Amino acid sequence: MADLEVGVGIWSLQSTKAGPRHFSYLYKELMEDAAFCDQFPTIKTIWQTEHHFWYDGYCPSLLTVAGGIAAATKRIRIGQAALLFSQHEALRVAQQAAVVDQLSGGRLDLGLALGYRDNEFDGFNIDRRSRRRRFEEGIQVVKSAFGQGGVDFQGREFSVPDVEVTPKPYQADVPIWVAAVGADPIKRAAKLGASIILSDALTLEQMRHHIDLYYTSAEELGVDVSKAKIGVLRRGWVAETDDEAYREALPSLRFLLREQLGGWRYLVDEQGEPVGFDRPKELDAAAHRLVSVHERTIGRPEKVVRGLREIAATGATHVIFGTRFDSLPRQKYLRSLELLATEVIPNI
Amino acid sequence: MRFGLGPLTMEVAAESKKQVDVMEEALEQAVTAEWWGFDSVWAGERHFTPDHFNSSSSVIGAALAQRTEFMRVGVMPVLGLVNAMYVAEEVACIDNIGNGRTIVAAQIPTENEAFGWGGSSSVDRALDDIEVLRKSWGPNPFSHHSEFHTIPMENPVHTQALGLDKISVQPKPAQLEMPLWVSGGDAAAEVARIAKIPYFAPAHLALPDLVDLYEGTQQEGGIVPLAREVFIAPTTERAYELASDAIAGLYQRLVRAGIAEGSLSFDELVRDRFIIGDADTCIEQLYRYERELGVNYVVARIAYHEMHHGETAKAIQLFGQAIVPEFRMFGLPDEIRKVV
Repeated sequence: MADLEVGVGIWSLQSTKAGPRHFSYLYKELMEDAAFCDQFPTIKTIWQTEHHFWYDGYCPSLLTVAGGIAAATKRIRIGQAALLFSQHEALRVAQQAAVVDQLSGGRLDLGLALGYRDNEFDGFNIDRRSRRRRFEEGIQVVKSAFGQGGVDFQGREFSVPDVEVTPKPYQADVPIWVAAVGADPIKRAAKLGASIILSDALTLEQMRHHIDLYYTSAEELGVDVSKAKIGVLRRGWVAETDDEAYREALPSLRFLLREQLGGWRYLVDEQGEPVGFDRPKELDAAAHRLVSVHERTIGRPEKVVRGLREIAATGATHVIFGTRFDSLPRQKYLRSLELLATEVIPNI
Repeated sequence: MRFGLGPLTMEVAAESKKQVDVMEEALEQAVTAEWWGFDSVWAGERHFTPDHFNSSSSVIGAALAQRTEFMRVGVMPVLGLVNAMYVAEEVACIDNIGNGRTIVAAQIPTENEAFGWGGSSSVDRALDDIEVLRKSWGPNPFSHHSEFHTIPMENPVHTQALGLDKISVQPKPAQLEMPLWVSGGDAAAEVARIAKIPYFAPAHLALPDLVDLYEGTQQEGGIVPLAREVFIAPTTERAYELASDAIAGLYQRLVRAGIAEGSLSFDELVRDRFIIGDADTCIEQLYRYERELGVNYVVARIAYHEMHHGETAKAIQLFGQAIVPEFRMFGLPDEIRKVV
């Protein structure tokens, strides 16, 4: 079994209807959480998540906030799961990523996704249909900007003359992760030789299938992915007993899946079609199916160890342990992180 | 008068110092300045510079907001390059990290920046960006259709968003009204006059030129900010000994970046631009800017990255003890003034 790295996340900084908070409180709490996780060498990475123009203030500027996290921490890596790359200017992402990487002494894991919500593209005056091309051209701009010399890129979506992006990143090779929620994005990631982040909506069997697809695609394309990591987002919670863990986390997880993700057509029905509020029955069923998947990483430390071993057995090499649910008592939240760091990860 | 530290340039100033260490030292210098009573710390921003000046005042601004607790954090985004809503979102995040302590001093792009981005250095573009920033930070959902921005676009393919003709930038800043200044040369001064916001002259412009630039920008009872190269030591001789190479070095790097003009000698630069010396010299120079321009907020660089970190910290302390009280403590008795 491959070694399994564990990161934690995913910080969205939402002030939700059920758990309204002052935003400054949420940002302060993130910095405190980051410093807390930084104490535990077993927690490899802290992961952020992004959306724009959403009613609950979902964090829109991950690399900016990463600057704050870098200043609050000394050791932990800082990743994005994921930055909605097609909604950004690639050159600006490259500049900011380089500064974050310098500021943090080389702790950036740059995680990128396509983005999918129409009104986020509308806000930035970007046609959603161009998102795949923006993504692929954007990656070339970023890679070129991170290298020596000028960028000089002419594409259909981005055109950058011969200017040199400075500062350069601290790391010679900043890890790029691509969020991959289906077959096409997995193939795209394989083509790029990028690490991948699989969605939290997958069963173990689906996960295994996606990972196989990634390696097969890379082989067919002749791309070396030996250094790439296979990440997966999995919701989880650790408490002293299973019963405590269920009582603390399950209601919040149900709410997250049904209201927070479900409404965005993020979940799929049994045929793989997206479901939203317009199909409440199917949405409930989809959320219910996922709760039973994630339940395997909710419980006492021994149980969560087993759940993570199952994930490692699929070929995944990095789990983003998703402990951020709405409206959780803070002391219990920190206790869950501590148990994860001290009782779970060392025993996987 | 109020005082800030910076703008922090964070460039690679000496081969012996890595940029990661320059940045960490700068964050520590901000904390030192906060302790010694400075009102703000400033993150500079310039793009595509040969000496690797900081290119994201948003990222560094967030770091400064995290490390400091009370002082304001100045960020200096270059406008005219991308959709201004990216800047609006980033600033709102920083403002929430700092619980409402941000000041924005927008900059006009240099020729090379505008070229690299296919952007615009025009007054019209800067004004349009400022309008988008203000709408983004304001309480109401908005739309904005101009030569430079289409917010939001209408696209029949975007079925989820059909019928939504406004958007709301989220989150909102913590403070009710974001302080907004503009920094640069002629175009910036013009923007300040039209938008009725404070004009903030950069450190490389000379006093005789500033008189014209500030003309018509000062608002009754408003902030009149100015950036200057400043270094202070117990004696003027010692201040020159410690800082003249570092300041001259920075100036050369600004010239290489196409920001400052390069034909002047160090002595000429000192005369109308740099404030270097003991406390009395610095005070006298600052009174000169106050008298001639009405300046009431000075952002003093003090932090030069090729200098020894410890010497910078001592200068920040001395500035806080010997200069800030002179301008802030109205009615300070002479007997107490002489103690430090």
